[in-house]
Amino acid sequence: MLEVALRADAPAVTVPAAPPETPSRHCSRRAFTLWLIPWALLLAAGAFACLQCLVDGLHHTNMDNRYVFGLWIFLDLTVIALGAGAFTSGLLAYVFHWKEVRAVLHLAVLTGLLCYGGAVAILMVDVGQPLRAWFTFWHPNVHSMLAEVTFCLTCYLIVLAVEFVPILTRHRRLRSTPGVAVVGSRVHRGMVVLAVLGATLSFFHQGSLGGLYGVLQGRPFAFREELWIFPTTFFLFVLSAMAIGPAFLVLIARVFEIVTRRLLVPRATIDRLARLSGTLLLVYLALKAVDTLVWLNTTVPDSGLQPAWLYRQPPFGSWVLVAEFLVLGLVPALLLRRAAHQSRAMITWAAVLGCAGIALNRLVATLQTLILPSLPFEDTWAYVPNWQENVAFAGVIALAVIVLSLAHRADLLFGRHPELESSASER
Amino acid sequence: MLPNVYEFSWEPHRIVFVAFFLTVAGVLVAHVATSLWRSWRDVRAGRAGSLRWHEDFEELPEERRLCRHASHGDAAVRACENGFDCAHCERHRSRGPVASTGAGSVHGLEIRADTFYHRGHTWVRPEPDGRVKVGLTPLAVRMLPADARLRIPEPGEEIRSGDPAFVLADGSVRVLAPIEGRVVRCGFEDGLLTLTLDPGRPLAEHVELLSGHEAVGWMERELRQLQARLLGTEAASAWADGGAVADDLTRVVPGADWGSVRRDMFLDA
Repeated sequence: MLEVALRADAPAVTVPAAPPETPSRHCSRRAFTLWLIPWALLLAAGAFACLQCLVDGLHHTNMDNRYVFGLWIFLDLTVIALGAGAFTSGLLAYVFHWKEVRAVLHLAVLTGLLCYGGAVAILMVDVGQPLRAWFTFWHPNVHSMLAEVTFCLTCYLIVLAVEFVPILTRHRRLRSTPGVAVVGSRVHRGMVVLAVLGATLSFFHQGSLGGLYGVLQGRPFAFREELWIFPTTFFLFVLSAMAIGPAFLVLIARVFEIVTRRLLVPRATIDRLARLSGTLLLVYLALKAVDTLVWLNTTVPDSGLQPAWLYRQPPFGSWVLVAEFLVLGLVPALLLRRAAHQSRAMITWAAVLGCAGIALNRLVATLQTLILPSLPFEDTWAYVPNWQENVAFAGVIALAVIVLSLAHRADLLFGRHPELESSASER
Repeated sequence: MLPNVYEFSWEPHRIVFVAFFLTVAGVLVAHVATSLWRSWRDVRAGRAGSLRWHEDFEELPEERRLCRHASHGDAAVRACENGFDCAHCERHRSRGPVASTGAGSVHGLEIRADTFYHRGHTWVRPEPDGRVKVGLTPLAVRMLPADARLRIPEPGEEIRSGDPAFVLADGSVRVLAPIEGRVVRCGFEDGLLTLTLDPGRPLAEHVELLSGHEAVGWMERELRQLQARLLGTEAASAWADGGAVADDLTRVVPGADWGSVRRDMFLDA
């Protein structure tokens, strides 16, 4: 390529006389670096904690033989549920042709990749012995729901990585290489296959994550009746993930809009995703209510326990039910359902409440299940995660923030919507 | 898990389990392998630019993909779904030819009768020797800084329609080639940079290019879209008086996000 002046009368050598093009779509490099530094420090601390656990063992955590599932499993379950926006939006965009969803597809794929990548990374620290990770594929216990989770999770992570290729090739510098752009284009053309594959895998692993609690016959807080061959928690986990995934996407997009002080996603997209999320949350809450009533009135008494006893062990009292069903359930569901009549700020709060509700559901499913004694001579034991667990948890979030920030700065996440730039009043 | 490994037995649930994951793995591997194979074939066949253009086109805002027939008041059509490839568009064929003669001026931006315009803001003009000249539209020139430097293909290089013909030196925006051909030389016309090409096929076959009154109408809409993009900046009031468009809009409207505006206007997704 030759470099020449546009105008014949331009000076032969470029002088830096051109006014800086302000405002840019992004902040200055200095401001961006300052934004990244605390997250990078948090990530480094998380990496240190993980390394310590991998090298020395899990005695660096507050988990023990009683509390084999702790903060990390709660994190895994939560981020996997929140990351369901990736498969939901892929299915809606490529199979059901919802055009509005395309505006957040890139964000959905990267968010999903980070959620699932973070979950798998922290799971590897939790399981330990990374050099023997392949054992789980070569010698799986096919009677365990975790075998299905392991396989589906791994396959879906690969699907997400492949789905991310066309997004990565949108990078302007990479795209200037013709081959790179073509690979992105070709992979993108098969996206319907990947969307269907992703939805199938997600259905099974989201369900199996719920199912693995539902089959714990010795744990009365978790054990559920069966529907066909699966416990009811299998279906509730799938449905709750499908419901909250779109709301989480809306939330992440809104966080981007708030941090960057720009409107990035068309209102039609936010409304459609929020309405879908609200509707699915309502269906989920209705089914969960039925499940809870059956469980409290049949399953628990049949195991010789009083239902009230299950909610008498601190810190999880009966407030959990009120919070899960009402404050973090019905309220956000109704607000999201009527998204078209809400401000962006209200939709954001509704999404926050909805996500908190699903997080609480996963927290209770993980911790309350283990806190309750399963043998007559056992006491209720408290579990409080130590700094290694907390910092590793925070490290995963820091990694996600860093990657999302870099991706946004490279203009990989959101399309250009000129109409949004002149509607600043809506903010 | 796998046959002959760890007490595997040929029971139905194991077979279903293995078959499911082998199918998933097979589809994934096949998809990636096919994509890589086709990419290699496309690059060798020189289809990279066209593929990139069609993918970029889908990423453009809807008003930048407006069908030329929608512009003529045809309410049945809206955004083009064919990458402005009118030659292979059923809709274009069924609508018949559009008025393509005449010349005009839009707020000081001259539209010549002997020139064809690409919707990415380049023009093509046939020369007596059978070659063609390619340049930037008057509006494109005004959207670039007066001292802008551009990267252009070297003489002898082949370019295809949709490949970048002019790239701003900092790489922030690409202006697409309106037609394919071999670059003969670069020069200046009316003080502005032009390329001379040996066209790959006759200009008459490029039915996607606009000319005459259709080009005048297109330029008017382009100007309106640019004005809408610059709403809230000084430009809105500057245009209200109906005067000519300033020579260097980047100096007149320094507060605009020009990187983004140019990419939209030049159809560079």
